Amino acid sequence: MKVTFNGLQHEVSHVAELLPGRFFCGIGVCFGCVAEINGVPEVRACRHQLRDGDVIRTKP
Amino acid sequence: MVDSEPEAGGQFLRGRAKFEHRGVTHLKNTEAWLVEDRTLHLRGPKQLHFDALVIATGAYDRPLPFPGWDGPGVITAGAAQALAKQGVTLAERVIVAGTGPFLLPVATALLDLGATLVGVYEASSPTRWLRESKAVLANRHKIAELASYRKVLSHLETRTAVIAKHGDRVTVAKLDRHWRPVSHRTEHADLVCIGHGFLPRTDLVPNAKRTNDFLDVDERQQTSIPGVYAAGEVTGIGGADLAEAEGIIAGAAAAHQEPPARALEAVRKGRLFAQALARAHAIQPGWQTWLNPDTTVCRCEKVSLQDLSDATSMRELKLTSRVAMGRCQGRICARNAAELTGIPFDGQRRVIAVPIPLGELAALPEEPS
Repeated sequence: MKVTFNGLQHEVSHVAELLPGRFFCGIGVCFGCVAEINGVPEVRACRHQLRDGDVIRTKP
Repeated sequence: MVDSEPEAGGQFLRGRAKFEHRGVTHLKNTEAWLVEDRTLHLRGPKQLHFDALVIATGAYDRPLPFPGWDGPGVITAGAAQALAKQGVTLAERVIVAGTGPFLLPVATALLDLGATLVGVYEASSPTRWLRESKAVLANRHKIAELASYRKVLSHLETRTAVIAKHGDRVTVAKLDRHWRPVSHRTEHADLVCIGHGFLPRTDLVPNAKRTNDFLDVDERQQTSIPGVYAAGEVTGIGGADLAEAEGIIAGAAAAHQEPPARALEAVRKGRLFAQALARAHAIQPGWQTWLNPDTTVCRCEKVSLQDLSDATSMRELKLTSRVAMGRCQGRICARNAAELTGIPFDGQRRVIAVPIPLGELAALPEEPS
C-alpha cells in the first residue's frame, strides 16, 4: 500500500511497519499506535484497515 | 450482535467466520462502552435496551516488563498472531517468549510465514503439568493439538525467558522455579513476541464478581449481575472449544432455554483444563528481578520502576506516579505495577470501557430529572 506517513511517502504492507515501538498489542488495547488517520484523530492504527492513499500522522 | 471488529470471528477467526442468521442484526465495527442497568451504550452514540446481555469480550496478552520491552522490536504474542493471520511478519529473526501453550501456535504461524525462529522460551517448568493428570485425561484432544505444533517443539526451551533486549541483542535467561534468572546468554533477534498469560476484558461490567480478574459465572454462564451472561476467555483461559461451549450455554440461558447437555459436559471438562492451565503457567514473582530501576513499567506515561512511589492503594499510586493514567488506562501496566509495589490489585475498574469523544457524550438523550 502507498501511504503518506508524517508527510512522507511510504510503501508498506501493514500499518505496524510505520510504528516500531508503538505498535504493540495489535488488538486495540494498549493504545500505543494511536494516530490521526485521514483526518480522524485518536484512531488506534492497528484497528484500521490500511488502504492506498491513506494519510497517517503521529506528529502535528 | 455488537461486534468491535469489521467482520465476524473476533480475534480467533479474524473475519474467517461465515456468520449469517435471519433475525440477528450484526453491528460491525461497533464498540460498546457502558452497561447501565438494562441499557448497552454503543459508540455512535446509540443505545440498545436488553432483557439479557451476553458479554464475550475475550482477553489480551499480559506482557511482563524487562529492559527494552518498550523499544522497537517487541510486540505481544497476540499482535504477532494477528499480523500472521493477515500474512504479515515484521522481522526475519524472531523469538517467542512468555508462558502458556498459546506461544506454540504463534511460533508456528511465524515459521509458516518464513521467519527464522531463534527460539520459543517458556518460563514455567513442564513438570508442573504432571500434577494435572485429571485435567489432561479429561481433555485428551488438547494433547493431540500439541502434535500440530511439532515443527516448533524442537525450538522450545522451558524455564527460560527473555529478560532484556538492546537493539538485536536479546538476553535469554535460564530461570529457577520462582522465575529468577540463574544464568544467561545472548541471542540475536529483530523481533521478540511476548505473552505472559492473559488479562480479561471485563470493562463493561466493572462491578461483576471476579476471581483472579476473570468474571465469575454460574452453571448458566450468568455473572453476578442478573441478566448479564459471559462466555469465552473473559471467564477464564481454556481455548476456543471451551469458549464455544460457554457461548452455546450463555445463548440458551439468555433465551430462557435449557442448554444442551453436550455443551454443559464440554464446559465441565474444559474448566478442568482451564484451571490446570492457570496453575501450571501461573506467573512467579521472580520476574520482578528482571527490571532495572529505569525500566519502563507504564508505556503510555513513561513511568519507570524507580518512579513508582510508596503508596497504599492503586488510586494513590496512580495519583503520585501517573502509572496507569495514560491512554491505555492501565490495561497493560496496572497489574504489573500492583505486583511490583505490593499494592493489592483492585481489578480493572473503568467506568467507560472504550474512549469516546465528548461530543458523543453530549449527544446522549437527557435523563429525566
